[in-house]
Amino acid sequence: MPTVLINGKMFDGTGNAVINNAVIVLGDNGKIVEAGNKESVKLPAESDLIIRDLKGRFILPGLIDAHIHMDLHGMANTYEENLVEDNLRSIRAALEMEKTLKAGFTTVRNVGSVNGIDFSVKKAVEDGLVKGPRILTSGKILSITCSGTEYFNNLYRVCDGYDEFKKAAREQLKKGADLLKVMATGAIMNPGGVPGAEQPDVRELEAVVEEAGKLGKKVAAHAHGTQGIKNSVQAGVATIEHGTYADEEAVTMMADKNVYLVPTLAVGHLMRKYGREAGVPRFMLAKAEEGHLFRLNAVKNSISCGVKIAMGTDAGTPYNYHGNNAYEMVVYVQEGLMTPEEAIMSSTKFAAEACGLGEDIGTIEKGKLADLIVVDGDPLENIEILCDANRIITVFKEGLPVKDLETD
Amino acid sequence: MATVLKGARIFDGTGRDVVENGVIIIGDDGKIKQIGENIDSSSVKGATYDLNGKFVLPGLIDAHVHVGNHGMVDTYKENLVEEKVRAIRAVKEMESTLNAGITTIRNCGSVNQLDFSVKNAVEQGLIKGPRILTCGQILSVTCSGTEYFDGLYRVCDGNDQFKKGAREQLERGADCLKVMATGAIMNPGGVPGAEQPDVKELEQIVKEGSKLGKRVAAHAHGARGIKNAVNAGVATIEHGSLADEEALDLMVKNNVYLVTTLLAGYLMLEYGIKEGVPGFMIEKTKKIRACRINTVKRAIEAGVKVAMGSDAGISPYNYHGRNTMELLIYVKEGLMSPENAIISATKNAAEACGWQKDIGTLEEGKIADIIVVDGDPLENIEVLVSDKNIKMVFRHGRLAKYI
Repeated sequence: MPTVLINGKMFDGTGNAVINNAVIVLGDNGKIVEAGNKESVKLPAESDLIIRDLKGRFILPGLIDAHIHMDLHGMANTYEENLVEDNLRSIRAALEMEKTLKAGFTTVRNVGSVNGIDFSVKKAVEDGLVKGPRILTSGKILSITCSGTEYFNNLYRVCDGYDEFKKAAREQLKKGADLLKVMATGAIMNPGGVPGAEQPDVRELEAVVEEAGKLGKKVAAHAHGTQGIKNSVQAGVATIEHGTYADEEAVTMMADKNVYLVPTLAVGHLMRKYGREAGVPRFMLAKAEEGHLFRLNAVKNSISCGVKIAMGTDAGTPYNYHGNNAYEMVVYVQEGLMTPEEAIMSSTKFAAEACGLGEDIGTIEKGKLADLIVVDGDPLENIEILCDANRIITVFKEGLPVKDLETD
Repeated sequence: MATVLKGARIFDGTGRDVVENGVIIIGDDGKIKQIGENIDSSSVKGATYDLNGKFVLPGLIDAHVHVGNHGMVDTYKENLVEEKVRAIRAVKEMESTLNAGITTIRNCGSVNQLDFSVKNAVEQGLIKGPRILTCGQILSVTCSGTEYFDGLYRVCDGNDQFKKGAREQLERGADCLKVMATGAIMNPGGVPGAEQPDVKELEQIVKEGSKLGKRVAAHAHGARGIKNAVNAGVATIEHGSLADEEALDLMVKNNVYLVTTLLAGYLMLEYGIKEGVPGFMIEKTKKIRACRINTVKRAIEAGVKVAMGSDAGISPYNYHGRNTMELLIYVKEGLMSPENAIISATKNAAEACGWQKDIGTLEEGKIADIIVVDGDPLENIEVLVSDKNIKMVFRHGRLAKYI
């Protein structure tokens, strides 16, 4: 039975102006049959249509977070997290995914999970055991031998040399990874990690890109330092995560190669906001503090150079709770980096493209999957509305209402 | 904040008559502060529920479930489901169990000790579920069919290995230990009548358990295995299918409880081969079934106390949340009155688990595990089979279900 959504204010994410009085027809195959203004959309001939009146509310493409860690849960004490065993983490992660979905996020790209927990949670969502967004998995993060990886037990697959990177990439792909994640530089959250320092050689990064490419999958590179960014772009990754110390040359390379930037500004904001008294380790705070202004500047430069921004939060890191993902967009707007409209597009159209799902999701267009959210209030006026799960009235995932405050 | 239930028809599980228009006051500490007739609750600060004559019973206890298994037909295929997915699957199953009015379960074996994880998730408040008494993996000798349930058994041979096997479960926090005293119906090649560990091996488990004040549950179909287990000092016999007079007398003498699990066989035969239940299971079940019901009858006559156990999860179509069907079988087969059936799932099950000081009956000072039921389960036990009739569930004094 096709569903027809009527009387919506549609922000389709393509760059078009908002359409008042929009009509969207959802097919049985979970796709959008037609979307447009009331006059232009022809209703299906079937007599048994399900009509849903959106009562003039906003309807947007389902939101996408291109950078999360589902089995971390926003704990201040990262080290203690190592004591939580995998099965319990999996249960917790499954519940976090339900929260994420209810916050309007219909797709997440998971860029690193302890012991492949993301594969298990994805399976549980696909088998209908729990509700959750579409999950893109990466398994463990590929990293060279370096300081601080032991701080996150089993999150990293340590490899050194071209052959080992190949093998490690293949291990994640064997388990069904949808993408691969590699540490191109040191990390803020790892004690002793030097965010500015490049890590694998270009040749090693190429090994990862080659293996992903064989199965049509993309690579996300964690990179703060500018040399690490350049190495990654040169090796052929699809996205740069964080990008804190990107210089002019790095940003230009990214723009040229159509590499997306996933800024993850929320994490620094939140760590700094809740601070030391709340238990965030001192070394993390110091590094976050140091990187903060650089990162804002890098995002600004990237945008003016034509680099596309895909919204990513690093959800799961200290105080960066799953379900609060939309806060990242608030930061974009509050820091003057984007208009609300641009912020939403970073979390829909551009995030979809960065994930390689631009054909299927990210905008409300004929033929795309019907991942849609109905919002109470005007997010183009006030982006903070999207942070309130009570104002995310209905969430459609592939045409099915997976959350509906109207009826629940 | 206290909670007051009034206008309740109280079946307290102690054997006392039903109290009409009773009152229960639950304290801040989650315990029953006062219970009975003619209690003035007007000065109590807290939520008050007028039950308008609905039945109130002690929270039900299932003394034999398998957390992490889900009533699958194709047991072997179940081995392909990896444990993290199983852990997530258990989330809803524990919620269904609680919604069915079961406030405590005793787990009798989980693949790779999943029960510890699920128990943690419940206790941390991540998920809703009953109180879970864990046992980790099942201790078993090397024998046919254990490989059929990957990761469910800790295989041990010899006194030292049984000690170590027991200690491994206790290390993780096991609340009880489970051992296979005889072969199993559900394991291909398993011979239900055959005894398995020697008494000496069984004694190791009992000894290790007792060091931490924990009890042992012995899976035993054959009479020799039952006797071995009782002589070694276990607290409960699971299944007990082929118990002879001597075995039953030994159980009575040692105050060993029988946990019947009639539901497993009932469902296997009900669904049968056409619904995919493996042939070898049906064959073995058929052979043993009539005798098993007769054994329960004889056990009761001999004075053995019966604790309700469903085997939920491990056998085909034995879904978590259907646990109370076991009670229906007791009554339908003429083994018990509805009243005694309920007592088997409350007072007796609590005693079998060693938790009688805290749960199993509604008495002052006990933990307020309480269910409110629509309909009269003493008249018609079937009332307890549908979770729609379970209107309220209190676990440790907290309202966990209210429909």
